Amino acid sequence: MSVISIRDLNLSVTTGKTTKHILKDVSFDLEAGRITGVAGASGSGKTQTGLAVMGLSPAGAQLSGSIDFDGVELVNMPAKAHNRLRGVQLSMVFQDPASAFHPMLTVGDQITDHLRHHQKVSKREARERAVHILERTKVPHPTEAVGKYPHQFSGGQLQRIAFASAIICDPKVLIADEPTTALDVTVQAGILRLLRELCDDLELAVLLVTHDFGVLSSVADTIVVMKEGVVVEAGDREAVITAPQHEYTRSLIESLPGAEVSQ
Amino acid sequence: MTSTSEPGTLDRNPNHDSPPAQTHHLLELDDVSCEYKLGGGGRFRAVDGVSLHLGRSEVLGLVGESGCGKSTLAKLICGLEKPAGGAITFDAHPVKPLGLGRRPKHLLGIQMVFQNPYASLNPRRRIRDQLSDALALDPGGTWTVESLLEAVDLPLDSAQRYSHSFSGGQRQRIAIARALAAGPKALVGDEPIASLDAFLQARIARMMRDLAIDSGASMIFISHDLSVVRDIADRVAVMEAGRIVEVGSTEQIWNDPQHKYTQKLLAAIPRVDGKGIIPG
Repeated sequence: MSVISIRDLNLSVTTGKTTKHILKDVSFDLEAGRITGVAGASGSGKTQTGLAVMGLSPAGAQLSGSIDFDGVELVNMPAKAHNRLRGVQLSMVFQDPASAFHPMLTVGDQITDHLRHHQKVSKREARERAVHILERTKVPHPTEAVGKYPHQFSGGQLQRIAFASAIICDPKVLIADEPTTALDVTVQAGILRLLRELCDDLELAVLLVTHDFGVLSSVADTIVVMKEGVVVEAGDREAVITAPQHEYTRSLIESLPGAEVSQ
Repeated sequence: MTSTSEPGTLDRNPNHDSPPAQTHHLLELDDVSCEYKLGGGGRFRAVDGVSLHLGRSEVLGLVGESGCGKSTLAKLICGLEKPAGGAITFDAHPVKPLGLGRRPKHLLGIQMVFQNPYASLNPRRRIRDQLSDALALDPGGTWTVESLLEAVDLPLDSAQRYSHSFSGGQRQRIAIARALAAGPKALVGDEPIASLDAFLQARIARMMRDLAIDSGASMIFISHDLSVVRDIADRVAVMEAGRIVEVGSTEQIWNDPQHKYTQKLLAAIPRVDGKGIIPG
């Protein structure tokens, strides 16, 4: 049973007199406890697919098709209704942790803001939850961390805090948009391990957007390959990487530096 | 792929005392260090006693995690930062920090390609004008605006356009063309591919290597991505916390890393094997 089921999703954006077709008949599912990786070159529409689920499509966007979330239709859902889901049931982690946080508010305030808004918990209880959730995502010294500001953390730690913020309301769906692209390889491994753990323990349906086949090979269960707004290939991780069916997937994997693909 | 190695280029000891009159190296760094003042009155040593050399027609990869001092080292080489100690010699001339005056002619042979092509190109000038500026620095050169654009695989009508109408990968290619236009002997790339997607990264990196070597230049290629460096570099230097911990041929660093830190970096690269194994 899939948590999110995307069917024939089309997205076009009109700016001025020109209309650009960004997504063309995109269909795939997100399942609980599984990581679905979306790969593609920049401009292939992989991020826009994630944003469409979150209801964050750009101004002037026309969506058609269907995104079914546990029986609720997300396409063209009124903004107010979407607001009630976003941050609670649907959450997101962005690429650059340094710009995902407000520089002048403490980390504790920022990761409990949506918790207090949606679940009406008291300030004190929110703080306790924050400490607990930071411990869960392995941020060092969580009790002190809630009172600190974003600039006092390294990129890898901030990304852990971003994950804490994303899961604090017990969401069902997590969209991770290039969560490790801005990080060093040594830090990346830790974040990937965290993502895998959270996905398994909390039964999250994860949509992992990335251009890095190394990342997909490590954590994704299912891989969806996109090219110019079209899904060209979808399947199990091992099948897609070791025996790509589509010419484009093959060219992407072959273009990787020193790719060591075991045939 | 290793180009002609001169004697001494395979020196694995990073802290060797450079013998006198090693003039055959294009660029030499001897015990160079750099410090930044901290807010609280202390000092942070970003580069700490680095000795390195770059041969002619050679690509040297410089790898390390963020904050290890790679970019500071690049700035030192280009004279954009003042060293706290040590000496940098380029083609038998000392590299002096850039002041308010004109950059000395003999140092124009060092050209840099920066990390962020969105910030390094002038948004208000046409590509033709920006390339012409660089061409004027090397009057004897054979490049023209058209041949440069052709070399980096961009359509010829790009010359009339502004940088905002190009994608990130295209902008980085313009930045590379601009650096080449000045006829450099040493090209310094400070994470030139970090802002591009994985499929473009390898392509742009190979393009940089080919263009640099074909035009008779050497290149220092800075990256945190060992797998790209492996593809294009003849030698690799590994940097940790301001120090060079290991230098060696690309083969040796990749297959037989000596230093613990190099081994750690290599172990963290995820393999594209579809096995679902998280590295490290």
